[in-house]
Amino acid sequence: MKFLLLILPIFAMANKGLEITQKIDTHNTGFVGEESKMTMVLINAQGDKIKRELISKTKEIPKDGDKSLIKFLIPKDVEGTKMLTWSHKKDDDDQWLFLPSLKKTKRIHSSNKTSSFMGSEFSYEDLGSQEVEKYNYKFISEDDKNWVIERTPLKKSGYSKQVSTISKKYMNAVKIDYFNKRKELMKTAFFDNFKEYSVGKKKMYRAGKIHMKNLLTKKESILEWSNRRMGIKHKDTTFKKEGLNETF
Amino acid sequence: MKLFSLFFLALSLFSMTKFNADVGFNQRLFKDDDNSKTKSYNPAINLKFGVKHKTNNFKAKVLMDSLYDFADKERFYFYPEEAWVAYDNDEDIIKLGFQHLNWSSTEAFRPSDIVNSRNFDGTIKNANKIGELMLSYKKIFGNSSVMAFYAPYFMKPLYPGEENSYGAFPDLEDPIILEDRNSTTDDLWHHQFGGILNFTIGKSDIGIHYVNHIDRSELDVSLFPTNFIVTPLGPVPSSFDIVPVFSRVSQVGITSQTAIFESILKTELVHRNHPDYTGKKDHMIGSLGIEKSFSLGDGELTALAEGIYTFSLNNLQTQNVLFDNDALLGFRYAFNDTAGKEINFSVISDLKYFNQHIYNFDYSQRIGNDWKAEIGLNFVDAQVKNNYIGAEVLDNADFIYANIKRYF
Repeated sequence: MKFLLLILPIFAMANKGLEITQKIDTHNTGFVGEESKMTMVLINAQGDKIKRELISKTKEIPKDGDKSLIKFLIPKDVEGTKMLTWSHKKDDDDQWLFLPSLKKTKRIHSSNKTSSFMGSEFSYEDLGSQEVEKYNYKFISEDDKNWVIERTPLKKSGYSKQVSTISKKYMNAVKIDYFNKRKELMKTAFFDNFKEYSVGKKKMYRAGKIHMKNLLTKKESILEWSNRRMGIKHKDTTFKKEGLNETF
Repeated sequence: MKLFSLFFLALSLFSMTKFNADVGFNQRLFKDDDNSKTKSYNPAINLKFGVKHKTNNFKAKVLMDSLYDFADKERFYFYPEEAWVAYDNDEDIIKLGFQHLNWSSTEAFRPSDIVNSRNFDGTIKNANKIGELMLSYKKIFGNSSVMAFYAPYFMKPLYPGEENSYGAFPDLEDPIILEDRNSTTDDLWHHQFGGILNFTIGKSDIGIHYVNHIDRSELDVSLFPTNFIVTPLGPVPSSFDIVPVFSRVSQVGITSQTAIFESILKTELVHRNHPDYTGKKDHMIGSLGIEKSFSLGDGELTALAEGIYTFSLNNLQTQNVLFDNDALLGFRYAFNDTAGKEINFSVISDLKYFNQHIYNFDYSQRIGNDWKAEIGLNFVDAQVKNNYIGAEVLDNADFIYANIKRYF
């Protein structure tokens, strides 16, 4: 009996963490499709800056993970390279890379998500589709404005855990602490410039800026969205590997 | 008013047009090959420029590649990689012009990749393709597509010239095409056609293709006497023109890329059918590769192992084929830093003639967002013992290179 009394609060915390995450997920679904231009500024430990530009398109897939297409614009040597991702709720994602110089579409394995995205402090894992089913959750704390929830990955990940501070107003994370495999606090992402979007009768917020600070290397990356449009009904062909070498 | 309308129309068309170009300054330094004809040092300038335009369902693209060598005057080229107009409604794509097709799944040995002619000036890693004049139609449906093409003109491959230290290539004349057992033509207009069906099953991308065209995957030559000396036994040829002879082939093949055990498994299997009059034997070629990436520090290490095997041909029948029974081991380390630093190393070993190896090493990085620098080493260990069989044709093609490219 004493054992049950000890473990019940742990189950309750896990349930509450999952419940809040599901509530946020439900709130943020229904965006149909999204398109935006993204600018990423990479800052090294000495403060030198370099810019990256890309175009991102996302299509919401009911009952499965989203489909996304990223087209690289800057740096110029990779201009026209495209990455197509079909994320799945439980299964490994499907991912393809189109290399314009070879006119070739390569299937790539999605398990290696821990690598840096375009030399930034963001990893592919940070920017990929965040499916609820891929983590365990634990409720940490709550105040008037925010919830704090810890999540641990169920599959291969570059992190031992992530601690998210989630705004009750925006129903989105405003801060995420990333802990490495040695359980050290490695990176912190700050979400800012929230903007409200209407899709049908639904209203939802999206961050216009993420500032990622690597506490171990002192490097930083700032990702900003411009011309973001929500509720777009993308054509299916936009997210087919067969069409990657046809679109400009 | 009409003038204004025209001006705004031109402006809007211009705004839908994208231009891009890159200029490269290339240096190659070969090991001395004791041949007075060849140039050991090749400073060259390489210009590539492109234009793309899209208006509603119509689009057009031109991408030209060119190179001028300041030492080797024969090392000059200018050709379209792509130059086409297309109608594209996302499901049906009709394209007319010079096109570049790539159906391969493996990286180094690509028996399925036979459609376009190549520019063999450079490293094996960077054998560039020359656009082929064709009319093509592609239909995208579900997670599949079917594509068919008709190509009426045979584009000549570009081989290194006599002054080029890259390989033991003689000065080649314009090619001829074998039409029958005793009949050749220098006319390059021929019916060529093919198609591919691509589809996905689970974690596998599969392609099934058929091509019927003038084969340019191997180089056969004929010697035509140009001068004779008179001997007591009669006239004896004293010099020859070396003429490449190409002939028809039909190929059917299957390719696949499969995500399995956190790796990508790549396979290609083709069957080549030669008309009887060519005297060539029908055969199959298979290639198999596995690619796996690992996170290593802040970067990513990708390891690649590939092999190719030619079935049912003897040594004599494969002597004009560069890769017929070979293996490759390659590594790529991407530092994943702001400069995009990258190291590549590969070794290709002949599994039939164990004395043949081709090594390639390069390092590249960006300088800012608009410049990219690359240095590398190409080393061929294939002493000529068997009359230029396999990689022996590349013996002495040892060189170091340095390239710097500016993107616009």
